[in-house]
Amino acid sequence: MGNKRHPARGLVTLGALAALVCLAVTAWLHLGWRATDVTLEDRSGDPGELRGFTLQGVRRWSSGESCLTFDLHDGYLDTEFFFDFSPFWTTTAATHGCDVNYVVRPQDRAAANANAWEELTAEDGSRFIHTSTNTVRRMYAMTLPGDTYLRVAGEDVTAEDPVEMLWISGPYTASARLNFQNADYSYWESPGADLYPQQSPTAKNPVPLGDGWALCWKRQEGDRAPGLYRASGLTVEEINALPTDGEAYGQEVLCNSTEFGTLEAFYCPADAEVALAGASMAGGYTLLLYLDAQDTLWADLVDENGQRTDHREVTQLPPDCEDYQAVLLARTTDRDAVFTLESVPDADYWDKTISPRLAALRVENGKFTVVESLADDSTFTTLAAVLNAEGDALLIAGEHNFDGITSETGLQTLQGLDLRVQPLDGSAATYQGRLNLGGEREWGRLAGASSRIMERVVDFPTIQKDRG
Amino acid sequence: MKSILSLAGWNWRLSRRAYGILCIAFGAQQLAVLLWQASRPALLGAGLAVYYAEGFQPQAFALALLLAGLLAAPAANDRQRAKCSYTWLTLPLPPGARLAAHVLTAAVLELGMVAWQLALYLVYYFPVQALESALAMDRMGTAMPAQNLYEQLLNSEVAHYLLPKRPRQLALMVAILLLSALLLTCVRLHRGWRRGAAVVLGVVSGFCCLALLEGEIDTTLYGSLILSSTLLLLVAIPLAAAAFSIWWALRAIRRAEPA
Repeated sequence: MGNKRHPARGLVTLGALAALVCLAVTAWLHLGWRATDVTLEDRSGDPGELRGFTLQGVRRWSSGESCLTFDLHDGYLDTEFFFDFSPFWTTTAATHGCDVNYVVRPQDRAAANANAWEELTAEDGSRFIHTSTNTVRRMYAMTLPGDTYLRVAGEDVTAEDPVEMLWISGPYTASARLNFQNADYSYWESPGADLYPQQSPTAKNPVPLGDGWALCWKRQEGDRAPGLYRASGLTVEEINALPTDGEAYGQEVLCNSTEFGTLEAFYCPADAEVALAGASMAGGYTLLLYLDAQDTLWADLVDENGQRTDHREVTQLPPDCEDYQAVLLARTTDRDAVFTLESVPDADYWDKTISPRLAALRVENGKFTVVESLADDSTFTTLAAVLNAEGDALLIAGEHNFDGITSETGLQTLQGLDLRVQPLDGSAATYQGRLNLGGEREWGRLAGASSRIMERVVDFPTIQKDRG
Repeated sequence: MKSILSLAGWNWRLSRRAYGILCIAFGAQQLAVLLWQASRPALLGAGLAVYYAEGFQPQAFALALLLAGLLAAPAANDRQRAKCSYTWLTLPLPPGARLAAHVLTAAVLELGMVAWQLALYLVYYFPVQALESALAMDRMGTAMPAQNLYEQLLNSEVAHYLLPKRPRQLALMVAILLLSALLLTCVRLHRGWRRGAAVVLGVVSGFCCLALLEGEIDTTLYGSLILSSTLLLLVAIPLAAAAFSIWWALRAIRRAEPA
């Protein structure tokens, strides 16, 4: 084979062929992505009902690199493919963390030090120091978007039996002040009483307010009433630079009972029992959803000075529940705010919520123009909901998992989004459809290879200010 | 230039039989492994990309790629053809041209192996999918949704390492191909302890290149994760290895060490 006078002919042919194959496959990878496209399937009702709605999302694999964006506007579906999902990494709403712990009160410190005993010294030089006290103070350590931290005090709790406290003191004590257990005495165990509160003190999403953030404090604790609080925190460097203000087992420490950062009341309605959630609206207004003593959900709109400009009744929620949660869904305009409302009747079954509802609100010129609530009685989990331009209907997107086989692994795979257009006056859905995401191809997650198959997920980008 | 091409062509002629055997063996083992992985109950419905990864095929491909590059230089020091080697050393060509010809052959053989893997992956999708569907029908009692070839390519190690998605990544892949061709040629060129040193140099550079490839992907996805000092090191080591290898190889050729 080949020609001895042109010995390179074979090599050149091989090289050219190889280059061609590589080029062709690369080209197909770049251009052939429609094979994995998201499609819209109409199931019942009039597709024309999709006019006026805009729903945007990003579909990707949980541990993949690529993503596909879809934009359903006025019934037209536009999709775009990206090899890396980096532009969409932080498009979901900001959340904030809240840690609860119990600490020694300043007035009990001397007694706690007198009671303290050292259990052991570990290899790295850290010492395990125990003490006990009868009354502890609940402290909340919160993170804010932008990596600042604040710490505020809650109530004092007196237990029947002494509460065991532990301090792991080491060379890092001065710089580990964000860790309750390394900075000073903190809760270890309390035989006979579970001190931890079942509910989080604040709503999950911080509310953008002016240049900073506000937190929605849910319930009365001490003299802190439910409502919106302007929050500002310190950076890690600032916290580590704070002077020590107490003594623990002979060492100078920054007491765990010391507050830092500020939580300043912005708007606390007098009749609020539980403040559920807030949202930043157009024109500098802020919305607050709260429950009064009769389990009526109200929506208040306040201006940038904390003065109420509108007050409307939304709906009635089930009475006597352990917790109520309102979560702001992703939105494309700050004129609208749609919340999911969940009521948790029993703290032992935290995921069993009853009578889920959706609340849709629209604000124009400092007043509510839409305040409606719908029962969310579908069997699927609502992932997104948007108001139409007229403000008289909601497009609701719910999770549709593949149901072709029963799951043997307990895992599911997201086949698509069930869409329905629901008029706000309570009448039946005028359109039902499905956005096919292709997750049925990962049916193996339900059968055998659950851990090896990547999960298909959908994110809904929200407006910039909600992201932080 | 023409003489480099001719010499490269002769290297190809000398190595094509071994190369053919390598390609066939690699292809056969890949099909066997993929079908075996697809038949495992624990991987039911996982798809070609998972079978490929679970069957250590990325590692098998890396091995085949290295072997392909090593095959390119039999003319340099083939013990059974001492006369060929002697002839090669006395060709009226500068040492640089002789080295360049070998590296060119190695690079083309490696590129050929890349193309071979891409073709195999696409072709093997069909028998693997047929088996998966048959097993699904058997085990589940109803037909299960079939996989999608594009998705199985997109999410596979093949696409991750072999298909460029950005110009920067393409440049990096081409540079790695040429560097590996150079370093593998040098492994064949040197003898004795020098060959061992060339292997060590190759292994170290190989890890740096892999780290650079992964780092490029991570940087695109998450912003820069690599410290600039680490990045500098990861680039400097292969470049230094390349420069040193060229100098050392030319010196070896001039001193007729492969003889």
